[in-house]
Amino acid sequence: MSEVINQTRPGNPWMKFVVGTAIWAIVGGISGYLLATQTKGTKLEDAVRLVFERDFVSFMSVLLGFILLGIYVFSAIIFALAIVNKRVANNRALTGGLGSSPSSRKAYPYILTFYVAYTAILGVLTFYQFHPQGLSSMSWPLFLIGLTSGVAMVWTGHRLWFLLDEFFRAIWLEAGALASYIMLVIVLAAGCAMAAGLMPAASLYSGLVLYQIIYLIAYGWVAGKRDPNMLEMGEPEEA
Amino acid sequence: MKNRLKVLRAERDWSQSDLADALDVSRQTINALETGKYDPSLPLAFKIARLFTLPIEAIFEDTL
Repeated sequence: MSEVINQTRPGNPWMKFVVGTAIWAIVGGISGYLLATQTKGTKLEDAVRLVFERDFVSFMSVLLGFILLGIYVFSAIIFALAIVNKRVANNRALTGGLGSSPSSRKAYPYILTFYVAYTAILGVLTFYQFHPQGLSSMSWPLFLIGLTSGVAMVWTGHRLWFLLDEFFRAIWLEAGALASYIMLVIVLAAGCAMAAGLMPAASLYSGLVLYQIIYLIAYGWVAGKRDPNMLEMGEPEEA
Repeated sequence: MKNRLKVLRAERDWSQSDLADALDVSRQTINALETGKYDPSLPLAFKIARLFTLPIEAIFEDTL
């Protein structure tokens, strides 16, 4: 077995990591240079400056926030399709391992509502993180959108907790606990670094985005450990 | 924890979905139980025992 792995994955993994990082650094440098030269003197220059004049943590938070928004919008679309199309529901990789069992299909409308609400809240937070002075006249409507979405998330989360069975609850709890523990260690380490003046103060938004990224990774790991077929395309054969 | 779920299910010629429906859980739960990746809660273990009309110890075996 190890021979097969060695044949299909030759090379030193550390060397591959260094070469990969170097390639990304070069590609990033070239992209940054092209972006700066192409937008200089145009209307886009101010928008690009708005992004790049931030500190690294703030910049990465906004970037990851936009990536998460993309993931949640994609998820909402997938679950909307899963409600009306059984082939999409059958694809466990797309539906986070839920598949097309009756209880799963009953849960899809709630998951869709949850993701739409989540996207709305994260969208509002990301917008204000990206442009703190923007849409000041819309503060109250945006706050109400956030509040309504928060209530919707609590309601759908409560419904989903009882609609899906104990196996999924165990995965959520384990992934949530693992992500929270990792986050606690990061918060303590980052808090010490901030108190010592080694890094600039990070916002609550940065913590929220980081937690979500860690949770998604933890969920994938826990789900894969509990059920290796969990995130496979299609329904698995009988075990 | 080892269990005899797969054998008991095969003896009755039930699919994973049939067993999942009878226990009111998802097929993923049955799959994870049979492959030993997940240990059931006590209420679910009792439910399984009642369904097969066997004591819990006849279905689940402690591997410690």
